[in-house]
Amino acid sequence: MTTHRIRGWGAAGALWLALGAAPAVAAPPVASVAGLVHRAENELAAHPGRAVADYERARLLAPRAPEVRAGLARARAAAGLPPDSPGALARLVERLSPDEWSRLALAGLTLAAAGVTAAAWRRRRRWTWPAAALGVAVAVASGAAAWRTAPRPGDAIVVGGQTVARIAPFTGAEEAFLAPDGARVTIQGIHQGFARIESDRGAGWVPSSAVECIIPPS
Amino acid sequence: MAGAALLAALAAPAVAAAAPARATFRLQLEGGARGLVVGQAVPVTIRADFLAGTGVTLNGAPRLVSDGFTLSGLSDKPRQSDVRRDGLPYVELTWTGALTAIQAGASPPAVELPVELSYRAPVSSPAPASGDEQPQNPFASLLADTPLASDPFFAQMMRNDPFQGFFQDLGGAVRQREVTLRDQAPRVTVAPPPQPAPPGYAGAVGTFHATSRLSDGPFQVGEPITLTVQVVGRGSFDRLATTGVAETNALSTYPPRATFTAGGGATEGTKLFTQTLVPRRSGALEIPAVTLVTFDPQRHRYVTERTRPFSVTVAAAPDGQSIASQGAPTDGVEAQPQAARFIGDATPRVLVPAIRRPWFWWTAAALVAAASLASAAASARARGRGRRAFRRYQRRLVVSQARRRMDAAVLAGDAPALFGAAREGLQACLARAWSVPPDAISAADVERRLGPRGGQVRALFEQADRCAYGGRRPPTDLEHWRQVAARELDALKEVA
Repeated sequence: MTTHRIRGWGAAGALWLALGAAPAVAAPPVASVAGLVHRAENELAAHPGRAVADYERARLLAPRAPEVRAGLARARAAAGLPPDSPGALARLVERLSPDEWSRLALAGLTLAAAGVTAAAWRRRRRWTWPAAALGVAVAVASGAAAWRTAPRPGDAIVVGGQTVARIAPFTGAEEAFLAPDGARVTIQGIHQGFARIESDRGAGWVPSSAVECIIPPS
Repeated sequence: MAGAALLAALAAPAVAAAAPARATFRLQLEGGARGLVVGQAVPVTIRADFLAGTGVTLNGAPRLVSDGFTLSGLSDKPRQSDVRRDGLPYVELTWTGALTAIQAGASPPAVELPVELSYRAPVSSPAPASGDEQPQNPFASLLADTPLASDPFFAQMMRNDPFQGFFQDLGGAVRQREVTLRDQAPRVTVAPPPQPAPPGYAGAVGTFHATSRLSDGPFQVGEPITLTVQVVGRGSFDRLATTGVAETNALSTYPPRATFTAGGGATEGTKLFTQTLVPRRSGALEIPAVTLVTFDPQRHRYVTERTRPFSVTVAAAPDGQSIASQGAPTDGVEAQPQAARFIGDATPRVLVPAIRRPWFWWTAAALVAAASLASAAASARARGRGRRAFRRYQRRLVVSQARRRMDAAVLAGDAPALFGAAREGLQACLARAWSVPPDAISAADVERRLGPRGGQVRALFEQADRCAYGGRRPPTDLEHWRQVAARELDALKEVA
């Protein structure tokens, strides 16, 4: 596990870490849109599931980029998945990235906090409560959108081709269902080289190497 | 080409001069000894010959022992063939590969091959008997007394022991030796290419020819186009590189990916550069030529290969979005397209969304806590103001009640009630002004604090005291005193 300096804290942060007052923080996974798209294009023919995973990551960073949207559609088609057809609300929510929604939620929360504070101190009474109400609405709506669009730590993509999910974590176990390449699943646990996944087809165990988290673990 | 004979190392000293070579090892450069240019690759052949009957175990592949060269493309398994050399049978192992010069002025390349040889060392035969004496035949004495001894054929056969050589070979000791065969190519010189090298030269030396093609259309904004550049030829393909098509405002580009397919010779083959291009806006699009700069050792000059450019027509995206149109030129300065900022952005960014990171929740909690603290402080301040307002209300209530009781007392002719009510009202007003309890205010306090200005108030206090404690007859003009009391209450109300 690697540690990184506390940004903006300078010498104080370094001293804090040196004294052991702060726990070791794993460096979060980083990637660039260009790198992800390039890798996805290279993997598209041989490993469409991996291409889907990389395009999903790229969409986190650049949700409005036509290259990313078109590439994700092609990767899903190459993997044999049906085209993604989100509803109007989902399309609206996906116009912004989870990071952008998160920042908008913080901005709304800041507005709400300022409005409530001003109202409590009887400053500019005409605007305080409407501003606070607007801030709360923005914070709640944006926070919900961010929560919906941000992948959970266990959200993963099937990258090992058409993968057989079994009812127990060993090779000889009975088959539960077939997890298609590129399908989005949720990893619920890991046990001896097998991952328990849950998808719209059910729950089962697949080899850990057959699934890849959208947000790679630190 | 030089060859290294391993006879002396392998044969017994007594028979070294007469024994044939058990192994030879040779490194051969195509075309013989010559001058090379840094980056130039030449086919090489490595041959190892082993005398038939010699057990050979290879302890590895041939390896280069020169820092100024690299050996690549060496076949994993050598080609094996039977050859005759000096009338003797040999087994020949042959490797082929490419030798690339990487350092000017390097010493001639040398290769080594670690092997383990096993062979039977011949024993020295006893000297033949002199004169007519026949050599000692161990089997002749054993068979002398048998009936076969009189058989002329058998006797002829026994004269020369048929098993003599067999036993002689069996008698030789089997020897195993680990040796490293080595050979060096003489008279190879390495010179640097002419300076200065043109821009884009990555060190490829050889003769190459490049062609290009685009993936099939139709083309659309946001849809990747694959540009494939095929380079065929002969030379150091490892160093053949290109940056591909550069990014423009109309075109997003990604670094090209290279794949190499070996051809017939060690330095021949085909290299494919595949580059992904993404149009940013609709309309006519010019995809420029890709250039490859190489050095031709035969003509001894740099060569720039250019593929042909392409002109394509790009359709708009289904949603009508033309990426570059968002950044239309303004005032002669071409603005950076909005979406291009994302796609062209190679800056690593954290993949974990903010809402899944601790700092987001700490910030949200800090905002809520700050608002709560500010509201609590404001509420505390508001509570203090309320208490003061309640006390003010209580005083007003007392004064108004006093006025009503005075009116009732006048009607009833009750002087003690009139003066008692007037004193209570006045005490309430003075208590707020002086910040003392109302009951604690006496006529003496009024005289001390108000002086002559409080004469009427003091008179009302004294009348109230007389009615309550003095036992004297109260005044009869109650209406007059009521008016006095009301006037003083109005005056004190304004003061309070």
